[in-house]
Amino acid sequence: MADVLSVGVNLEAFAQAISAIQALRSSVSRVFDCLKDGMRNKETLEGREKAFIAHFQDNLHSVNRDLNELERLSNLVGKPSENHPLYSQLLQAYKWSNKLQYHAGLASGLLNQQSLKRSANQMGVSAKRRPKAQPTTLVLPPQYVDDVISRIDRMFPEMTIHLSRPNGTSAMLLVTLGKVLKVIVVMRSLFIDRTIVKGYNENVYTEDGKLDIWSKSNYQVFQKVTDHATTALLHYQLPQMPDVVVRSFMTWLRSYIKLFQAPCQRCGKFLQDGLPPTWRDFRTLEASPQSQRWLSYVFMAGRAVPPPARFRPALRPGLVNSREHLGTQDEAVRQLAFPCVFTMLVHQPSWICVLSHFTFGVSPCHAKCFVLFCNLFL
Amino acid sequence: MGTTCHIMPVAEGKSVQQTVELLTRKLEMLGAEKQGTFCVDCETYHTAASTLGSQGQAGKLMYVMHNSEYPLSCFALFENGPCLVADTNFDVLMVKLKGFFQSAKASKIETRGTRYQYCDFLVKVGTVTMGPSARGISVEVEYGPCVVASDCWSLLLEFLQSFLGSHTPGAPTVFGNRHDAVYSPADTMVQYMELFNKIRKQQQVPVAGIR
Repeated sequence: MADVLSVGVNLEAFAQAISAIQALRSSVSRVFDCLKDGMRNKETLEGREKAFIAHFQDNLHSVNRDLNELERLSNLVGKPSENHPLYSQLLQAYKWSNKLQYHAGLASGLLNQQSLKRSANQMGVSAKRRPKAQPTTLVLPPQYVDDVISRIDRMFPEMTIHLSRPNGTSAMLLVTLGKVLKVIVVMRSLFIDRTIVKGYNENVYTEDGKLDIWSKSNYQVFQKVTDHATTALLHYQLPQMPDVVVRSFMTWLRSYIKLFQAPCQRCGKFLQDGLPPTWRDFRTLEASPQSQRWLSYVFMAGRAVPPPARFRPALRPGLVNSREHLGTQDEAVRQLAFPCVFTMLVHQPSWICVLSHFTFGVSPCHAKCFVLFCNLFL
Repeated sequence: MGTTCHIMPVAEGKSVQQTVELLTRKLEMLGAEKQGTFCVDCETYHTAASTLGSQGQAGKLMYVMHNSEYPLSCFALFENGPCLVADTNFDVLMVKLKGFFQSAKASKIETRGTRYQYCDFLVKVGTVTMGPSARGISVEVEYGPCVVASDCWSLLLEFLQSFLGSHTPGAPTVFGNRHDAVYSPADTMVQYMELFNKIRKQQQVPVAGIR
């Protein structure tokens, strides 16, 4: 990417232009400070006015000077070549993912309003359990992220987490689990973006000593575990409490300490097609081979409970479609939901976890979230 | 480089060649892919009489081994002692140390055969020869992902049972000695040395017996 940007771009002029912008900003703020301070105390009124005008003129001249300097430098800095529109695509991807997280937060708020429990003391409990005010979870100070990670590091003795920031502010964790495996976790503030699982004896660094976040493991068992880890980070989702999410993910990951020692819980065998049982259930942390995990999801889909009629979700304007439109859409979504689950089972193993959340409980609120989800992804 | 175990399967009433063919056919039916050949050889040296002197010690045997899996290395080990991992210039050094270590006559023993890859398992089936005659079979199974020997013995046993049937051995001694230590190529060579010694002790190919 450096090659693309340096064609026609004078990097030194770039740096000078940035400092020229800072100089311009400070001279403009000096102008406003001068106006705010007003006239200084002098003996005569004329003297005060003259001093004020002279001071004000000086500040305006310096603003003019800085602006000319900036214009000169900006002519020197060229334009990046548009052969590879990488930068604009990156910007779009970044904006899209921010919007996605914002929508996910709103959807989670809607979902929390409509609980499937029918007990009467729901309101009292939820008032106590309201999470404490979090700062905007998209922009968290790096120190906070460091603290959370070091706390999780101390939780489990057999798991060590090493945090580094080689590329900007996103944290990269190297988690070593006993002598079994190593996991590279790429994060965005406190959200887990992607993971790669490699063997204990495999090299996780590139030739120039940086953490290698792209190459896959050489062993099939760890490639499978990487797929499962990606499924897990789609499963553990809580937009308002990301540190709970990270903790749950690490607890789930820790169950792999006995990857080679634990037989399958159901059949008692160690191997199936040459692989040990790689799937760890998200709730019970039981070991089973991948082929046996579909059973748990089919059973859960069959237990969907229709909601009581008295619950009506509060619609936030602009977020979802109009009430009348959704009335018919509800039914359509319900009819679509179960077939979707089963096709996803066959074709896209990792999407199952995301869609299954929207299809278990077939409440209007869940259906609306499903529509929202489809709007974002399809 | 993962954990390996070696066994010496013996088929009743069949020749070495036929047993090897039987094993390779079973592996291919399981779905393993052939991936080239391998060779492990071993030469024996004993300490020269002149160095024993007045202390009256029995001469120690030293084994110098090579493994095609680690082509740039040479392994030197004593029976119950340490294993040295050196580079291939060690052979030249042994020539220079003729005064201290003398090569035992007709002691070179080697195993050659094919490598098979099945999922994360690497299986090597080889014929052990001493001079011109075939003395037995060696089967080496390596499970790449796991580096702690004691963790994956059950897994290896299940895999061995799938293509060897009932001729599966007990856990090798190196697995018991080091519980949580990382497995290394030196452990593999120790297992080969024990295997070759067992074969040397037999005078002919046995009719029956499970080792």
